[in-house]
Amino acid sequence: MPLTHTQHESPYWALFQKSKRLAWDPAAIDLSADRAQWQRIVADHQAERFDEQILRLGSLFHAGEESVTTTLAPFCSAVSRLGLGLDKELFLTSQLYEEAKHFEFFDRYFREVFDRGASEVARHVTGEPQAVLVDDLAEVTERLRREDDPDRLRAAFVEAVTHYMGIVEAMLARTGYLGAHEALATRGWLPGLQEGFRLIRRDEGRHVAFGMRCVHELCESHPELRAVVSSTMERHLPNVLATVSSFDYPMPLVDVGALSAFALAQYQRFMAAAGLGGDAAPDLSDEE
Amino acid sequence: MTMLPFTAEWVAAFHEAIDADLTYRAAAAKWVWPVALVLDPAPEYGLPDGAAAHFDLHEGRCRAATLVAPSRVDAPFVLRAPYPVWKRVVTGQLDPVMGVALKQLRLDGSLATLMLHANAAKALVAVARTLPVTFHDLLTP
Repeated sequence: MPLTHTQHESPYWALFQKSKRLAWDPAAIDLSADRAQWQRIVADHQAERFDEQILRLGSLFHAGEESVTTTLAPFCSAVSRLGLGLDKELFLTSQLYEEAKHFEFFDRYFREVFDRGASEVARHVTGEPQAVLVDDLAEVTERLRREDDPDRLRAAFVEAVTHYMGIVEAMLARTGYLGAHEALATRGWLPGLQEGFRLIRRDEGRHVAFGMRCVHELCESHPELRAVVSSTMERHLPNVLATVSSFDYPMPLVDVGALSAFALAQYQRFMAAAGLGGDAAPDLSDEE
Repeated sequence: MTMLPFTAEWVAAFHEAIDADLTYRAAAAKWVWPVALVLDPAPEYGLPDGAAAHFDLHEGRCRAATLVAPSRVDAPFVLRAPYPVWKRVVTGQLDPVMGVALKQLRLDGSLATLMLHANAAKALVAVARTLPVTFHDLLTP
């Protein structure tokens, strides 16, 4: 079935077109400087535990990107079953491709620079981050996959979008990538990792914009779904805040205060998209 | 003349300052819930049961403020902390929402709502900082 004129003009179609224009290859990022620098960071910054902090950040990103890759397929099916439009389905195919590339980047970085495997990731991804990034996201997307009743499916979709795009991608991933990129850039460290962070963050902007627009439209047409957004946030915010504040090391690599403020701004922006913010029109763009 | 926090004098001054502060009024225009601030027991400062202050905050105004017994606190939002943490909050060294995130402040109430109104919380702390306050640990014996 051809796209309708409305779908061709829709912001979802525009996001899909942008994803094609801004495509990048994780295998093409030069990591040669990173390998040498990493060894010096490990040797020269034992007291600050910067290597541990970087490995921890990397592990959360690694696990998070794997999680969002393996849990996105039910969203594509849900959009189709709810009849929300082919333009949205097409955008989600670009997001799935991008999430897989994000995971590829971290998989490559752990092998070629950190020289660490799955046990390193598992060591760092426990407790609150494990819950919010992996276990709870798997649970809600499994419910999304199995739900058949249209009203419950719509509510499950809003809950899953809030968790995936609002919490994991907006509050945690974008916050983490911004903070980590700034921490490395000010020190001139790990340029390949910085470049990966920059490109991934740019992709995430489109994913979050998709989620905000979906939630905005569904909450406008079904105002009762705002309670789903609120309750989802309420349930997971403690784990989000715990994950962000866990980087408050005695000698922190990242500015936890700034990260918390950015995560808060992402939260307020997503809530505004759902009609739960102030009076100003929500910002649904893919820009930060 | 300086006041000690969590005293009747401080609560009264805070009430007046909140109600007069236009920055707070704008930031808290949509805040419609009473808030209680609870000090954990601090026997070292002559407060063996702690202390609590109840603020009836509504749309940028403070309709009432009272010192209450901690055991009688009843508000939809209650923030609890030990003395050193409250000192850091009142002097602007610790943002209250950040304090909740770092588990230094304990919140009874909706975290989602508090975070939506983080600017109101910041503005409330800014008002507190305008009060001439001293602290129990700085008093000469």
